[in-house]
Parts: sequence; C-alpha cells; structure tokens
Amino acid sequence: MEPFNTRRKHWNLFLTATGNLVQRTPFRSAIILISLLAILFPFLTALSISEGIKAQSKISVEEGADFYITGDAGGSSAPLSRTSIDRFQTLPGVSRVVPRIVGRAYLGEQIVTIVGMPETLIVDTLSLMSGRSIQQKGEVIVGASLGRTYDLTEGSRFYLPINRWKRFTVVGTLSPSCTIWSAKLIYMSLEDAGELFRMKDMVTDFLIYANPGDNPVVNIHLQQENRAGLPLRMQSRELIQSYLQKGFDSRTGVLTAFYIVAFALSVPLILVVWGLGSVERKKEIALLKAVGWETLDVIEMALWENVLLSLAGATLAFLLAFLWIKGFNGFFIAQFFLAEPGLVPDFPVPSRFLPITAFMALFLSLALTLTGSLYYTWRTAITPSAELLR
Amino acid sequence: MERKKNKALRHTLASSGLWAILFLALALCLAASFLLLDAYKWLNRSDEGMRSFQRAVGGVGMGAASAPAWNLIHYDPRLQSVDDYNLWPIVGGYPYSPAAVSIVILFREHPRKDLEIVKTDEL
Repeated sequence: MEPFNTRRKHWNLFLTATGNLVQRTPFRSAIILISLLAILFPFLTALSISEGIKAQSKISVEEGADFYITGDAGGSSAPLSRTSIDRFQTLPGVSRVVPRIVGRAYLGEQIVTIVGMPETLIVDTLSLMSGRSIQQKGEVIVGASLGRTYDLTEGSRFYLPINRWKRFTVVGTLSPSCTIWSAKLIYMSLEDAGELFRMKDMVTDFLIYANPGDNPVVNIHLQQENRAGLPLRMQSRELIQSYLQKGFDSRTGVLTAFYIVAFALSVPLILVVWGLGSVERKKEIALLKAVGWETLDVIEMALWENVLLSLAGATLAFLLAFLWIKGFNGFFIAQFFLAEPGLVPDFPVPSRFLPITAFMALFLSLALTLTGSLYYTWRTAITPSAELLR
Repeated sequence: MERKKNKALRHTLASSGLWAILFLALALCLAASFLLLDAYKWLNRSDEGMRSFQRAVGGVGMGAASAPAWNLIHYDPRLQSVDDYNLWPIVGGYPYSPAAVSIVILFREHPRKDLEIVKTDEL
C-alpha cells in the first residue's frame, strides 16, 4: 500500500463520501434529506414560535399590574362593585388602583376581546397604525386584524350583537406590532364597556400597582382585606410569572418528549432507507476491503456521509422554517401551534430563532442518521470480503 | 505521478461532490447570517409599541391564542384562572379547545394555596 499523508487520507475519504452521496446514491440521499426535513421543519417552527410568544408574554407581565383582584363566586372569577375600589386604595404600599373591564364578545363571526379602561387613563402614546386616541364617549380603537376583516376605518360606526343599542365609532386602529393579543381587540372607555356588557357600576377586575419594593406589604394587607366582605381572588405578579414559567416549561417538555418519540420512530425508517441499495453497498465495501481499506476507513467514510447528510438536513430545515415564518408569516403551519389564526394568519406571527434550537436540530439529525447506518456499516466492514462478494 | 493519480482520484470521485460541498457551505453561511440577523433584530428592536399597548390595557394576553375563543385561561390566566374545560361534562372527553392542544404553551390552573388544614388531637 502506498504511504498516505494522514490529512490527505481524511480529505480523500471526505471527498469519497461526498461523491457517494451525490453521484453514486443520489436517490437514497434525497429520500433521507426529505425525511430529515419532514421531521425537523415542524420542530424548528414550533420552538421558534414558542420563543416568540414567550418574549411577548414577558412584556405583558412586566407592563401589567402588581396585583389583579377579581371577585370569587363559587370558585370562578366574578365581577366586583366599582365602589369596592375604596377597599384597596387606602391600603399601605398601594400606589394606585385601576378599575378595568375585560370581556369577550362577537363581532360578526369573530370573537373579540373588549378592554375598557378609565377615561383618565386612556393614553395617547398607544402605537396606532392610523387614527387618533379616544376623546369622547362611544369612540373605540380596534385591532389591526379586525379593522382589515370588517373594513373598520376612522369614522366607521358599528355595534356588537351582545348589545345592539350601543353604537361605537372607530377613531383609530392599533398597530399590528402591538403583540398578537391586540389583533382582535377593541379598546374603549370603562363607561362604554360597562354599558356594552350592561355592568353598571361593576368592573371585572382591579389592577393594583404597589410602590417600588412594597409588594410584600401590599400582599399581606390584601390577604387581610380578603377576610372581610365578599371573597376575592388575588393574583400577584409572582404568581403570574409562575404561570408563565410553568406554562412554557410544561409545553416545551411535552414538545421535546413528542419529538423524542418521533425521532425514535424515525430510526427504523432511516434504517430502511439506508437499506436501499444495500447489496451494492455490501459489494462496494467488500471491494474496498479487498484493495486494502481498513474497517476504520470504511466507518470513517460512512461517518462523513452521515455528517454531511445531517448538516444538510438541519441547515435546509432551518432555512425553510426561517423563510416560512418570517417570509410567509407561518402560512398554514401557524395554525398547528397557535389557536385559531386560520390558514393565513392576519397578524405577525411571533417567532425567535435561537442558536441552541439550530444546534439541537443538528444533534437530533446526527443521532438519527448515525443510529441508522453506523452499526450496519461496521457489521458489513468486519465481514470477510469473499463472503460479501459471494 | 503520485500527484496526478491523486488528482485523478479526486476528480472521479467528487467532481459534483465538490459542488455539493460548496452548496452546503453556502447554505450554512446563509443560515448563520439569518441567525445573526434575527438575534440582532431582537437585540435592537424597539418593543415600545408592545409595552405602551400593555401599559394602556393593564396587561392582556399571555397564551398562544389571539382571541379568547375557547377558554379564557388559555388566552390569559389573569382574566380567568379556572381551567373550565376540565369541568365540561364529557366523561373522558377530548378537550375541544384548540389552545388546550397547542404544543407551544398551556396554562394549567394553579392550586390555591390559601387553604390551611389544621389537624388537632382534640377531634
């Protein structure tokens, strides 16, 4: 055997592996690539959407109140009298208390979120796509998706089926960048929301903002306040953050578990695919062994083939997922991960691609292809050539 | 002679293989630049629009649903912390809420911690 420079040897094995994939077995390589894409594409899409929503949820919690107080009627949340604001306003450590009405109603065939805030707190800094802020009774700002679906522009008048006698005038449209929860939302004054839901002098919840560092104090006083009068349901920022953490952790865990099962089931598939042309492969290995290749050389060549296929599969799946989410706004696939966005989501689908996700895809892809082929190659390579060629 | 042999070997085995490697390298560079671009966008994005909206509404929305179409808890557990799809009278039933089967996030009801069970020997 001619003396080989080690580096050149590895380089030649690498080139041989590439040649095998592209020239000798292009059909098998294509099938394995397609299988990897089919497995990795939804995996990457789901994880990126999950990260995008997580980021928006964090903002929602950070900018929300320190405590949310609702009534407790037999274990479910219940509205409270607006006058009970006095119970909380004077508590030590409380900076301000904001009454709020949040409800759901139909507009046409769409279910929308109604948010009513006190007139004095309606802000001009809201990010609007068009129009202006609310100035008078009966004026509302609508979400971008609703505006587009029902052609609601400034000056449009409409009513909601829940109360046909209450008329609204659109004065502005929220920017689509205001999170996914603004897409189907109608923002109005507390008075208007009260009239719409016929909840005179009632609110769905009180938002309590504590002075900096006074959260524990307010918490204790709220607990004491709950001993008297109607029972209250209190949710602190800490509790809400734990909702968020548990919600994402459990789902990411389920997703990962689901994918581990999917990958485990894919191993036999890849084995079958590797088996395509196995007779030729056996003969090839036998000839290579006969001309002086060692078992390790054959395994290294198979390793390069798998590394290249995995790298190609993970990279293409990442590119496809990125383009599909960012370019086509998750057309078709978003409905599997978000509730009711339809075939074509009419709001920007939140997503975030992290390097760890890409590496995880590569790792899973490698595990899948290596499990499928290395053992087979080793078994073939240690069998005497004469027996393989028989 | 040796050089020529090796050249010929490389040429036969991997003439189009080299193109595949080039293509793969290009795809890798593209993927890396997309990752960097996304990271850069997230680092430099202005989330003031989202923040001002959330301040204006007092914090609305946490789940993977754009509207409270099914269960409020899946839209925002602050609005209704009771997971009422569990209460539906379908024995061993399927949770029809699409949010409940979303694989991105699921909010489960938190057990209330304000119940204190006191055991005494007197009873």
